[in-house]
Amino acid sequence: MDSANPAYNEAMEVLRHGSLFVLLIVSACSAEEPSKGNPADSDTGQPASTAVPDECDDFPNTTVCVDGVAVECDGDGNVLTRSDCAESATVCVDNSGCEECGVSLVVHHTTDDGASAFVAVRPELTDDNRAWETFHSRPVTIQSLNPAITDGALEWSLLGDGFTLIDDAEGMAPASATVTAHVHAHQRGTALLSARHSACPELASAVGFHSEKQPPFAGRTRPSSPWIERAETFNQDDDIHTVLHSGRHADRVGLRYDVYVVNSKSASEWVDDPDLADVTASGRNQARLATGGAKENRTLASDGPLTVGPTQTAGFDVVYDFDLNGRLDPGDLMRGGDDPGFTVMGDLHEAGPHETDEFQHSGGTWYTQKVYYPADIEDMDPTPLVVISHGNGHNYLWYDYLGRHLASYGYVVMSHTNLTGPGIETASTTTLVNTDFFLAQVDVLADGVLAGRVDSQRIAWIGHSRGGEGVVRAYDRMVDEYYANDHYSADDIVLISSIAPTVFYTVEYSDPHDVPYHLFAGAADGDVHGSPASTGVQYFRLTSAAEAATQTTYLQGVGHNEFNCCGFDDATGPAQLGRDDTQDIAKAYYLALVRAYASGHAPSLDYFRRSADGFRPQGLTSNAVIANEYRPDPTGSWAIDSFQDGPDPSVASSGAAVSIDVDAAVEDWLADGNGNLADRDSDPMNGMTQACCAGDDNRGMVFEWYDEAASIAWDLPVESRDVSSFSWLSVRVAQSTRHAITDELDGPLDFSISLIDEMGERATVGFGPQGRITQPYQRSGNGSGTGWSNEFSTVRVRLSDFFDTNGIIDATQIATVQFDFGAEYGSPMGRIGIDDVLLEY
Amino acid sequence: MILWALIAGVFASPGGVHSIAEIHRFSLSEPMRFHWAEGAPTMDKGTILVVEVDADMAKPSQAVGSTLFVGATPAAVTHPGYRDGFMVVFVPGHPNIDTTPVFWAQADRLPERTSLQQGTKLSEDAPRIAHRPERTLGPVLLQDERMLYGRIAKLITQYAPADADFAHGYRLAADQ
Repeated sequence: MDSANPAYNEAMEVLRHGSLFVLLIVSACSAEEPSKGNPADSDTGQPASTAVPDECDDFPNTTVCVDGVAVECDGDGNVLTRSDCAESATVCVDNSGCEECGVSLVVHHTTDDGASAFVAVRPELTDDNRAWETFHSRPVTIQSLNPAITDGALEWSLLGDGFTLIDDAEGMAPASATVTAHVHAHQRGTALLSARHSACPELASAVGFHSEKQPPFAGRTRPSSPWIERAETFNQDDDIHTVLHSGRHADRVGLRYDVYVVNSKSASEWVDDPDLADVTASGRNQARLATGGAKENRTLASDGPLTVGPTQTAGFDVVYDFDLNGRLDPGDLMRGGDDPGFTVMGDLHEAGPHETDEFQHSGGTWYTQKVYYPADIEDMDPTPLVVISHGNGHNYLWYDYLGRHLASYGYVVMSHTNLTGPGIETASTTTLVNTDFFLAQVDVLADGVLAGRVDSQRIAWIGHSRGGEGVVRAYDRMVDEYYANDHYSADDIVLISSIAPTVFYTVEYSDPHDVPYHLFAGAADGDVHGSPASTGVQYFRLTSAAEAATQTTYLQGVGHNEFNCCGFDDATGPAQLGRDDTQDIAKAYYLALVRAYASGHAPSLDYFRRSADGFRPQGLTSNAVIANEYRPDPTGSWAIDSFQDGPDPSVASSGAAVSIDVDAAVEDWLADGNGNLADRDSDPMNGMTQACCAGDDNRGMVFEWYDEAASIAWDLPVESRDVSSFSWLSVRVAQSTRHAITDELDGPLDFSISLIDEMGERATVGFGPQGRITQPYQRSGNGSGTGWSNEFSTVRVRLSDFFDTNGIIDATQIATVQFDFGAEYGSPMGRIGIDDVLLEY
Repeated sequence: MILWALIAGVFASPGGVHSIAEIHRFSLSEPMRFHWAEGAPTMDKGTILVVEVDADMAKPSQAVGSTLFVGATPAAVTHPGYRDGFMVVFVPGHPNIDTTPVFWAQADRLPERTSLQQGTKLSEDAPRIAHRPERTLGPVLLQDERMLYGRIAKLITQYAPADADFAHGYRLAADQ
């Protein structure tokens, strides 16, 4: 084997091509070799002419390498020792001997137990986001194990689908170099970074990585597993905690880190300025990642409320600083930058930061409008338009509370005279033409104060009562009947909200289609009462027909005219909230709704996606019982069971086999069977008002359990068992009104949800602490008994909660989704209807 | 005593209409659509009535409830009226109020979907009350729908001041 020493090689060539002595010398190479040759001439002291040449002849007092053997030479050029470096997994280095060889791979901020290093799943790497994504990658230092080996090169490579190595050295560097590369992941999986030294290519090193979604760092504590309700939106009066789960980050257990909560910055701002400035009342927290999962690793983020400012909202980023240097560096963990790590909301029902102005104008009897706008609108970017279409016997001047409120947060609001008396067609016409008329005039109204300030491509329609159906009908006419306006189109409608709408038309004609749709309704409504006694008041038919994201805010104790200033008192039922409290609720929820859909403020959607029993705008009356129902856009979810595919409850719409271990299970149209709320065995869908008439096709399931454990389980099709790309499991649930079991429970209801993987590992989460299913509003009438129409709430559980509860469960092999009922899992008894069991992204 | 008062109340205002305070007949220079009947027919003349009504029947309902008819035609309701007990309404044409019933009926459909035949059928059973309006005017010539509602606004202000918001809007349009 050639040495790296050219002189030595030349010498060896001479010897090889020389005499037999060369062969004898090479073949006799061994660990110990007696000193060479012939004794010196005793008279002259000179070596006798018969001395045996060897490797040390020209290399006295050094060590030479010969075919991987380290030959130590003494000062006389004699061989002292020979060591076969291969026997000790070393390599021979000239002038040194057998040396350790290889590449050191040190993943930053790991403990030494060899656990695979976590990398958060991020967007795919591009040239534009490289600098930012480097912060979210895992740095690895690559260098030679032995600086004594200065020759040769280091080589490394990363193997793993969905992983990329951010590496300026491009996989190779001189042996003397120290390189830091960054492991980045854009999909879930595992990867192996391996490296080798050219001096010992057989002695490769490797470190492992695994990637998965990193759930939010912030949450509210829970009294039981998973010990924290992670969230992205909080109220200012929430006790916000930060958390790091030792199961997900096993590679960091034992390490110290500083917890920073900082004002939210954009990705580019972080790249420009990665310094950390904690904004909490108590300053940054210090922690050490302990075993014990989330329970042992929760930290109160702030002793006092975080500042939200006059807009009543503020974003914050969370950084876990593992190198304790007060800077965001690769290897730290963070949530934020792309979107805030979390958002805090204040009192949304309070007036916003803008002073407001208003004026009225008219272009005809049914073109009379009142306009509310921020007084400093000339300093603002073009702002969305909110249009209010009142109901029958109502007036365009009756919505000052809402117009002024939204204007104080920067929106332009226009309330118009609405011709609702004749019916829905004329109501829809007035909505259509008034929106068009306003946009035609906007540049000249009020001396041009609004000129160029209204964004006609972001229009929200709010309709009340017949106006509530009118706005839906108006949209339907644009979509299905190609009704054309001069100054806007259907694409410009970003949101439709109906307050206690009538449903005179079938949903073929009053159809929200694919626009985000919201329903506001009061269970004490004495006019559009929502009971099955009349088809024209079953407003849940509209939410059932909607194709895009749909949300319902259902208020117990609220009548029809609490939503305006001046309609007569129609409220019927107990625990009435009254106009002031109702309008505070309306202001808060409408601000959140318009912000979400007209301004793209995603955190505001949490007030609709999360149970109002557990999370609602702060500062509202504690007497309010609110049922939130949310159904995502179908493109953002996959239905385990929508119940739309037929009456056989043992087969889900997805093809999943359904195991039913509950009582009295019936799958059918969600329609009350007899128009009466009295409970009857012959009417299992009693109280359901999601369907009644031609074009309605919403189906679901009802069942019950009583004082014993029960369950219903969906065995997922094999091709659907990898749920790792989803973020949520959700289902819509309502208690069955006036049923004996519901009456006996006499309160809110909850149960647990389990995921079971193919190996039988199970994770169970009870959703009760996040918000329970409301008891039906205790209103009498429309038959014997007490309880109004069934009110659905959406139960929505973060999938990471399951994996935090049981870290062994395999998200790529979830075989079964199971609902567990009984005292061990929640309410000891219940009679419920369910719909839309979904996995959401 | 209470029972008699109840019975007397029912028969005192059969059809929920106590009296007709004023009648204004008008014609229009610019015809308008009458949206309160099926087909939204065009009208170039009409009759305004100021009607004293049963307050509970006058309360506006979103669902299909009571509809005020003048003969076979649903009346165009311009304001709620229940607070003051008076409503200002109008219908196309110049019906003879002496012989035309004015009544509330529980309709099974919205006015915009009420045909002449359906209205006729409802009116056949309606009580024929000989109303003696305190004041009858016209016909007066009005320019258009705006001016019609402007006139109506004055009557609302006079007979139903609690509905000032409605009068305000009509006046704003008329004054443009």
